[in-house]
Amino acid sequence: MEELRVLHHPVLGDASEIKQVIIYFQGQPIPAIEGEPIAAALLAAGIRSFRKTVHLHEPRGVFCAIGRCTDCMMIVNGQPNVRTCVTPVEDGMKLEPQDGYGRGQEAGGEKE
Amino acid sequence: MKRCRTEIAVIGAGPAGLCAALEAQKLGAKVTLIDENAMPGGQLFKQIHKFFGSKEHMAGIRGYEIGKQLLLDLEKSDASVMLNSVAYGLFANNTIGVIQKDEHVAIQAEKIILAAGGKENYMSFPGSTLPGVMGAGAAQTMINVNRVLPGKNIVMLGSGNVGLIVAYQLMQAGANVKAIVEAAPNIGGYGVHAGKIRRAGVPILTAHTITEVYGEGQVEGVIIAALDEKWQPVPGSERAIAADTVCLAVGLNPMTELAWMAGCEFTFLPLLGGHVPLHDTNMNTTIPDVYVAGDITGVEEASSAMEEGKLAGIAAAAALGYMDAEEAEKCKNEVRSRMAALRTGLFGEKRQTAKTEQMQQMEKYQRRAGD
Amino acid sequence: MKNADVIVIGGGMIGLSITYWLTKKHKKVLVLEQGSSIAVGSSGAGDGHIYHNTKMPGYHTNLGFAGGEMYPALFEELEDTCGFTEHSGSYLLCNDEREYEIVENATKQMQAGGMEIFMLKGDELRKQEPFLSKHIVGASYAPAGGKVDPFKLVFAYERKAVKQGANVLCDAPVTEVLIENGKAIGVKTPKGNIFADAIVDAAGSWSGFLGKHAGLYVPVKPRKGQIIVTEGCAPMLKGPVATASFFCAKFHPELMNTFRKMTMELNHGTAIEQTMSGTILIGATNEWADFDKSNTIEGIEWLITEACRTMPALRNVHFIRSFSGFRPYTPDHLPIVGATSYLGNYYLATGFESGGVSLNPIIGRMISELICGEELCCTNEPLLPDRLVKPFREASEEELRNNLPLGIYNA
Repeated sequence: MEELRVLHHPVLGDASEIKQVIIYFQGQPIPAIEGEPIAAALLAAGIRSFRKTVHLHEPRGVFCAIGRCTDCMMIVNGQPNVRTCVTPVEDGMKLEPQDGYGRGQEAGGEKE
Repeated sequence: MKRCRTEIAVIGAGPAGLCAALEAQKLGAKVTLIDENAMPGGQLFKQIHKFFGSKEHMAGIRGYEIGKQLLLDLEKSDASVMLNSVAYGLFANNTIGVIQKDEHVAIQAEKIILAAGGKENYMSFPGSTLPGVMGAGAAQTMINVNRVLPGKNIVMLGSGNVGLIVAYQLMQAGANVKAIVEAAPNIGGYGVHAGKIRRAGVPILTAHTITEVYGEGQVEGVIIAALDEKWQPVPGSERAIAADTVCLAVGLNPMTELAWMAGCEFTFLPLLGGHVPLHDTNMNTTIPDVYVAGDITGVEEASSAMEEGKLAGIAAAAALGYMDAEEAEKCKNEVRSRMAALRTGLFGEKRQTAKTEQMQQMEKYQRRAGD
Repeated sequence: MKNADVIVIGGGMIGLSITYWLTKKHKKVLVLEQGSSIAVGSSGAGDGHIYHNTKMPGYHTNLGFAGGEMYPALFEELEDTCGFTEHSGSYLLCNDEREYEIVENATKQMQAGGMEIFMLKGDELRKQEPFLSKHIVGASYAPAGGKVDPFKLVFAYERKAVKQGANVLCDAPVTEVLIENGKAIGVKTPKGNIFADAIVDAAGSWSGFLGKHAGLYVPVKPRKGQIIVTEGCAPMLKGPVATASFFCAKFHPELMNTFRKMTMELNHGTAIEQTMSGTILIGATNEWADFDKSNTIEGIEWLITEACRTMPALRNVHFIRSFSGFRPYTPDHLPIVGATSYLGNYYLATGFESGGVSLNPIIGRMISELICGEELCCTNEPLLPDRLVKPFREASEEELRNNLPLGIYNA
């Protein structure tokens, strides 16, 4: 797969010292950079479909990338409706694509 | 619920909000700056290109460098900054409802400056919801802030300045821009940007449209067609361009929800992006203690956002007595003349006309209210 | 020369139910709504609960039941299910043993009155509704409870009524009721005078104003309720729930001393339901704010706090909207339904407070029976207007001040 991370840039320079973390997408480990939005890590790994819509189950991914449109929502550590473009990665984070509003047991995270 | 008070609350820490907060606190006002993101700066940090204009307008300086400077100034200032804080509503007595992480905070202010910015428009056509179709600004955020390419083979829809600049920046980041598609017969943006693109070998297809985006679960290509003088697709002109990403540079519109909630009067000006709040030459809306600055008043650019922010900051602080009226008017006029200078030239003139219309409607409203 | 058989003033679920029934009986009906659309009054600001758990045995409760039971047949006639969730059941939640005891006693009385309702202890309750807080010791459960979408209901009534010949005019406030020889003969609106054989006041919270235009003191005033709406969520709640604290305080007023200050100022009990589109409605405050429709930060704080206490999982859910509406409140909490001796050809169907959803089907039928001179399917004796209504000039200063909107008292 072609490299999607911009390691060398004519204006921004070379990518500086980074701290790598691992997040999990459907159990699959994905390398990520501490502090970057979840959506960026997934796009860098070539993953673009983040959820399915409620009625027609159509795939959606990033649209606005600034937390306005909710297209990029996923289930993060069991919590649905998380906007991945404005939520930073954390080491060990578990990500699941959200189908509609999520399954019953993920509905609100913990029941109590 | 936590309760606090401030003199001037600024909602939105992009270029307009930052400048408003800095001006107001410089004059001695107690300022609280609120932003829902983890970092202030709004759209400044994805702008890696050099700004235009005069020296006063920071011509030749890149957006993100201006952003860095503003943040340094902010740190040195007395302004209280609330990040990861969503201002979700405006209530009676100038009270702002804020959710900061898990806490509910009620902030009571004497003056409120709304600087919430704008968001990208969406265009609907078959396949437009496929993963891989995104706003041009979204792609710009990904490459310039997060240093991640959203894809490798891009088709850009829209040849305004955003479309042209982002297409160029995608190439700087290593992507292959297959084409820029523009419905109008002419290129929408500045010639200097268009020139750079053409020299890089990217075709700018004017009088063309995207009729369809295709792909299994994500973008695999687009079908484009030529448009006749009546803006209708010419049968038989369709052809496919393989791509993995489609960027929509089809304009922005102001995020005016808080102004609606506050009860501000609006007008509809398509050139400024749609419904915009009325305001006067002090950036004051029809609600006495509420001011607006930046893209929320109408979509322009970072330079005018910064000037509007300064104007609102001075006006709000002066209204609280932190500057005498005559002195304040002098300062405001300096800002106003810089703003007027920005709204010149081919594109600027049109915006000036729209802003004049906006302020004339404000005057009409004030006259009616005075009766 | 008349323009219609009947003028119905008010485009909410009461007015449109009446219109539906009258047009079924071939009456020519004109609906006049002051707002820009039907369903913009209380019908456009409620939660649509069909809720029986707080209805002590008696006339009012039986009437509500009868109304609720009419829904299945009604939906068939209207060819619209109006977002009705068939018998999802409704719950009255008890925070502690004391509340459980009080609710259990009330429930026994309701059972004796023939209602299908019974108590559930905490564990059984959470088997049916697993997201309810562990601190809830139990609840009363009425299997027949449920919810309907009030907008869909009003619009479904309107569609059918219009098919049956009704006319609906919006932006049409009534500024005067035209009277001749002690009988109402029509109304005055900014667009002109309209004449009819009968006039119906279905104006809800605005009946005080309308009453004055008819020379009558009609003691209805707005009781404000704020509601918040969450983002869409996966199913977390099947039936509407409400907390029992205030219900219990009705029987044991000393319990009011145990309520927190904000609870005292703002409320009546939290009610939570999940709509068919996945959003969760959390309501509602009970405030005297005349017609001030704004949401308050205190109201939002209170609703969120109480909701999260009841369903802790809501802590992780975003709320995205808030709105408020008015409940038409009468001094004795009972609606005003029927004719009045003070004005001929004038009928009132107003003051339903929060009962509009259960009652509108049967009220529509009853008013149509009154106007058509038919035998009433159900007596309206306890709701007769003249127990409260009288000529406006006979109302005392205190009555005007306490029982009417400020706009009338201050005029």
